[in-house]
Order: sequence, then structure tokens, then C-alpha cells
Amino acid sequence: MLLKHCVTSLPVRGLSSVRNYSIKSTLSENEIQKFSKMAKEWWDVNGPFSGLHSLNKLRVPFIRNGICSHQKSAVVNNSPTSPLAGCSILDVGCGGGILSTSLGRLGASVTGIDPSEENIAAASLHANKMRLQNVTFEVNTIEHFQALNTSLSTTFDAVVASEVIEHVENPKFFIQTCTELLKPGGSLFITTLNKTPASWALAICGAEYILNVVPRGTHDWNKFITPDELIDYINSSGCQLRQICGMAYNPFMNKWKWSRTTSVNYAVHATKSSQVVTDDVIQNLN
Amino acid sequence: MKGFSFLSKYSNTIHNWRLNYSTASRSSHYDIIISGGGMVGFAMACRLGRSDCLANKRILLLESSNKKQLKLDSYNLRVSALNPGSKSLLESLGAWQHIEKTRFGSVKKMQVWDACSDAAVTFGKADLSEDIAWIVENDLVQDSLMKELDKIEQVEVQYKTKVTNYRLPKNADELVQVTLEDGSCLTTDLIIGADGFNSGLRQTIKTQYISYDYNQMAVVATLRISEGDENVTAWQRFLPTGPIALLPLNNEFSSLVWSTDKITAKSLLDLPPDVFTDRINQALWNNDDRNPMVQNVSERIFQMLKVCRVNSLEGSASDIRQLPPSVVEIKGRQAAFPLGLGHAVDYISNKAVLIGDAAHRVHPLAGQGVNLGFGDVIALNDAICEAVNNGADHGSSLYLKQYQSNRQMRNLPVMASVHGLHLLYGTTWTPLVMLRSIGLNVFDSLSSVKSFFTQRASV
Repeated sequence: MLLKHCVTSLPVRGLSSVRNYSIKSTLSENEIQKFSKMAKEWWDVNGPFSGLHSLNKLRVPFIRNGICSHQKSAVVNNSPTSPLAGCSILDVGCGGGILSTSLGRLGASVTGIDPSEENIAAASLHANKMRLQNVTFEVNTIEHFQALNTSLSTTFDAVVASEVIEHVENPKFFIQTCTELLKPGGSLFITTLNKTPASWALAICGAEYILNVVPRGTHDWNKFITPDELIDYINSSGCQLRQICGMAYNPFMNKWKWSRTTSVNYAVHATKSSQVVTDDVIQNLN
Repeated sequence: MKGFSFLSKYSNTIHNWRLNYSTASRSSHYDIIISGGGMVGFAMACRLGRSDCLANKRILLLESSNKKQLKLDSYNLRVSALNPGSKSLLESLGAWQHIEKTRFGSVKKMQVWDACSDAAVTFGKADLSEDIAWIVENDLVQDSLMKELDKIEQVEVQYKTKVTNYRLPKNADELVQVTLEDGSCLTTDLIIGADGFNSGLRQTIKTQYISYDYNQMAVVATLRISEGDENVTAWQRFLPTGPIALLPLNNEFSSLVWSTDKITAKSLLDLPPDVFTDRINQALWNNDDRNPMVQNVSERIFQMLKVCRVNSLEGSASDIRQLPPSVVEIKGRQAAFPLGLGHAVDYISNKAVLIGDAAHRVHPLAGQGVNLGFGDVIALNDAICEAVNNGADHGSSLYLKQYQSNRQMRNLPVMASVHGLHLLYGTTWTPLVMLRSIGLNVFDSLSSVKSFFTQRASV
């Protein structure tokens, strides 16, 4: 359910292109105003991204509770005002930073990456205004970010990809890359759409063509992923499924709630195997 | 590329944005400001201050009058009938222990009857084993909350501080600006209006305010009563001019709340004590307003219902019709306050929210006023905590909207019912008197329905 700005940024630019961003001397006051306007759109809770703002009511507790129950060591210094203090999180495809900012407010050190410079500009502007020191943003793709961080041995306690995987070209590779950025025992959180007649009827026809709450062309039903496929990718990347929950959206009230059925939207929590497999171990096994 | 240096070239612009956002120095910015220090305002401050997830928030309460010193030599005239939900709230805030140690009246039974007929409804158990409400002086509730608030460091109270202007933000990036009488300016992320039925914050929000002047005043006094047994019954008689209620304070005294038209109220205020006492007794005992036809019909129906025992539970208080006490004398002087109905269509705006009488004002005939306000306190605290636990801003409109819809769903039916009762009992027109008398008798006999309404009014 990513909305129009992500559509223009992801398929057009493609995840495979490198976004090495450098300071452009030709950026004008107009560009700043344009980014400001875009930031206002991202951060208007009643604006075009209202569905993502209200989705925080489900996905933030899902992530918070998942980390606090499965990675107690990551949040050993937490408090009721900072339940995620001490935890490092990577938000892949962070858009305007709606989820990153909320996780940052709970005390986590958050890095948000997105291939779109407009999105990252909007996210950074807002984080600066909120004086959130522990949230940073980068224009980057997941594979280039991973390549860079492998050489620096940087890994995260949690990687989040919310409303992203339904837009990528190679979801198996995407999950693999996300997992490589996780510490052993780290958590992977995904929210996405199922590939069912119900999701076609509601998320494509209903949302994009009848109610117009999502711009037409945002989603390609053929790229939706069933829970079985996703669990398969998760297992083959060395992770173990912890929890899977259905989500339901009421567009009239802009309300999300947990659902017994995963037939339209669903959320997944998986953890990476905590045993670090070294070359010695592999040799001995052989 | 590590790090995002896009903004470094525009550091000046960023600096200006930061200045606009955080114009105020640390000492004049608060995370939450509560405007109004009555029972509901103090309860809100205590509740927020005791929420663990808000422990790092700076909270300020602004009260325009001086810090009140509690006087206990005689009973204070303004009292409230607290329902179980309100008592639980005060217990959770640590305030109830102060009330318990000082004084309060227990209501174990309520009898409500009509002056135009003999129809009555009673609430409570026949063996008087359960408290259904508690009568506490408003000043004592406030003092108890103030004592607890003194213990909470992160909450600051400024007395004798009047707000002259509120400036609400146009978008989520801006702060609320609160201007005080001395010209100084405070900023906040969330302003809570607990400033009563003439709320300045509500006027700033410019919401549509549905109001109705009842053209009535409530005359209040402390009365010595002739009750031989325990004084644990609340009495309310619906006169055509308005209800007269006696609320138990202790075995010797009850509090009078007599709602009547302004002219009668003003004449009652001028009466000397002995004449005033006679008038109260007349209002409680006089049968001049009885409608003989209605009396006849409703008596037959009452007998029929007794025989049928429709849905009646054993040990219900309606098995026994008691007679109200007579008043011996008044202690001190009587006073009066105006009555009206008011409801704000919007309880919220950008980073602003109304609670208590600022949002809704109701006739005291059902004893709901402050109970609705305490309900607002619980709901708003829950909404703010949910926002913070979800990493949202504590003034986020998504969560304020949740508070508004929860409370309007709860408050509107209560207010409509109370207003409806006021209209229904404000007439001597026979068909309506017949309807309400029969209705009341039937309602009284349906214990399960009565319990449902008592439960609903209790949270």
C-alpha cells in the first residue's frame, strides 16, 4: 500500500540503479520549497499518506513487542519512556520516514533507506524538526547498502520492510539481503499484501478504482506474495518464522485492525538463527 | 554513501526552521499544558503524571485563582455524587484515601418519585449492603487531588495565572502558543482545556456549541434532617418546576440541590432559615400537584406489577417504599448557581482537546456532571498513552480523534437522556404525566433493565 511517491521512485528508478548522492550545487530555493511541500504531504496525518500513519497503530506495537520479547538483550537498558532504547533498526524503503520516526521516538537507533531523494529529503526535514538525534536517513538501495555495510561489518538488531516487498523485482534476493544485515538472533519484520482474489478485489479494484484511496497503478497484483512463498524465502535465508498476523483496513474510517485472515494484508515476524556458522564449523561438518 | 549530506548545504535554512519550531526557550515550553484547575483539571494532571510512559514529559497546569485552602468547619455547599467509575479513578490517583480520612456520604439507596403521581423508582439493594454512589464536597475532591499532585515532580502548577489568548497551529509542525495575562508566552505540543463551561479554549477552537439555557438555578444548602436510622438514601422528587434532591452527607446532615426556575430560586435565596426549611418540607411532602386520574391509573398498575412480579429480583429495594426524611433546619446560608445544557460538536482541534464542562454541560438531575468529566480524563489519558507507546506525537490528531469519538458516543446519549428527563418531568400535562408515571412504575419493576442503566451510569 505504498502511495504515489513511492510508485514514482521505485519502479521508475529501479532497485538496481546506484544512487550515489552528492551535493548538487544547482539545488535552488525552489527545490527546497518543493521538498518542504512534499514533506508536508507525507506528514499530514489526514493527507495522501493517512493510511500509513494509521497503520503505525498496528505495526509499531508489532515491532516493539516482537523485539522486547525475542531480543531482551538488545533492549536491556530500556525504560517505559524508551522501550526500544539500545536497539538498532534498519527501515528498508522508509519513504517519508513515517515508521522510522515512530521507532526512533521509542528510543531505537534507526537508519532509514530509500532510493528516492525526495522521500529522504522529506524524512530528514521532519526528523530535524522533531529534534530526533537517533534517526538518520540515506538515499540508497538495499543491495548497495548491504554491500557497503558488509565491508564495515555493520549489522542491526532488526530490519523492517513495511509495504515494500510487493514492489520489488526479486523478493527472494531482497529477503536474503535483509537477513545478511541482521545480527545473529536479530528480527526481520515484513508487512505486505497476499496474492488472493480478495486482495485483487479490495486492494486493487476497491482501493485504486472505486474508492480512489490509493493512486491507480500503485500495486501490481502479480507481485503480491502469499504467506507460504514469503515463509519459504525466510526459511531459505536462515530465518525462523515467529509470528504471522492478518490485518484489515477500513478505508471509510481510516482504521486498521488485526484480522484472523491473511487474505489481504498481513504482517510477519521472523528471527535469524542465533548460531553464527563459521568456516571451521562448515569444514568439520564436511 | 554513508550519511546524508543533502541538508548540509542548506544549514541556514534548517537553522531557521529549527528556530521557528523551537522559538521558546526550554523554560517556557511544556510538552502538555492543562488550562483550568477544577476537579477535572487536577484529575487530568494527576493521571498524566502517574502514567509511566509519560514520565519524561513536562506538564503544566494553569489555574486563574489562588491556591484554595480547604475549610472543614461546615459542609461546603457544592457537592458531587460520584459513581463507582469516578471513585475507582480517585483511588487509582491516591486521592480517595484523603477523602476517606476526612468525610463523605454513602448512598446505598436512591428513591426517585413524581410529585404528580405516586410513581417512583428505587435503586440499590433492600438490605442496603452495597454503595451505589458517594457524596463528596467538590472542594474536598479538589484538595485531595492537589495533595497527590504535589508529590508528582514532573507536573508544575501555576496559580493566579490567567490565559488571555490561545494560538493553535495550522499544521503539525507548529506549536500551540499560550499567552498569559502578564504578557508572557508559553508553547506546548498539546493544550488540554479543563476551563469550565465558559471555556476560552473552546471559544478559540470555534466549534459549534449547542447550548440551552434552562432558565433555572440550583439552590444548594446543608440541611439537618430528622432521619432516625442511617442516612444512606438519596432522595429526588420531580416537581413540575424542577427536581428537588437530598443527598446524604452523614447521619445528621444532607445536602440540598433544588433545581427550579430563576424567579422561585431568587425568592428562595431571600427567605429566612425557618421559612426556607418549611418550603423544603412542603416540596418534599406536599401533594397539591397530584393528578387524581393519573394517581388512580398508576396505582392500579403498580398493584398489578407487584402481583405479576415482572422480572423482579429478590431483595430489590423497590419492594419497600420509604418516606423521605423531613428537614429540621438549615445550617448556614443557602446559595444558587445557574443551570444549562451545553455540548461542543468538536472536542478537539489541532493539538487541542476539551474535557469536562468545557466540552459538555448537563443538568444536575441525574448526578452525571463530574462523572462524565472524570470519564473524559480516563479516556484522554488512554489515548495519549497509546499515542506515545506507538511512537506518535502525544498531540497527534489520530489519537485525539479516537478520544473524541469514544467520549461523544458515551456522553451524547447520557446528555440526551438527562435533557429528555428534564423536559418530560417539567410538565403537568396529563397524558405525559400518565405516560411517565406508568413508565416509571414499569421501569421500577424491571430489575434487569434497571441494573443495566445503573451499570451504564456507573462507568
